[in-house]
Amino acid sequence: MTKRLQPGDRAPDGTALDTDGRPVRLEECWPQGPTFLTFLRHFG
Amino acid sequence: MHCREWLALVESHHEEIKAAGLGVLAIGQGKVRHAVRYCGRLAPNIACICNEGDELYLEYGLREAGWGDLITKAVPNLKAGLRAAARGHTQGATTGNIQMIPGTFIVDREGVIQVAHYNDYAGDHPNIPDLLDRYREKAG
Repeated sequence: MTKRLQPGDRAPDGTALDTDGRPVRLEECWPQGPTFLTFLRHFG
Repeated sequence: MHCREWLALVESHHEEIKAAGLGVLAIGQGKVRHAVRYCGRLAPNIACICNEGDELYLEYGLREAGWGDLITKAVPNLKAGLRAAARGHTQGATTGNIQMIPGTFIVDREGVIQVAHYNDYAGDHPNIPDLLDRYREKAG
């Protein structure tokens, strides 16, 4: 079972690709401003 | 269909989210071409990123639906599916791990989670104004 994150926890870092195929590192997004980060179940 | 409904809902609130000082980042499981097609159609104002695996989902504490969910969440999930269908969202070909249950977080500029919402089931979308209110309360 994965551990649920709580307010006050550090947001995990990770990398994903943007729609141009460029890697986006999450930790590099945070300093740009507060983020509404939503995980979709899938594309479908 | 749940994801389509949710992404369209986020898109419809994107001005409100922006007014609260937040940028939006939507993560999906799939290839870049899936994100381009899916997000371009449903959420042109939202930045979408993608991964083929579910590792990042697991890092954020998201979980897969299990057999127990099929039983205990069947009715609310069915209702959510009917709601999504009534809003014109049908089910397309899926990508990634379709058992993964979504979630939404508000992360501040220091990289600290301020609001966390874990869906109980796929169609258990949070109320966006409520999430923003919770963020504003914390941000002062």
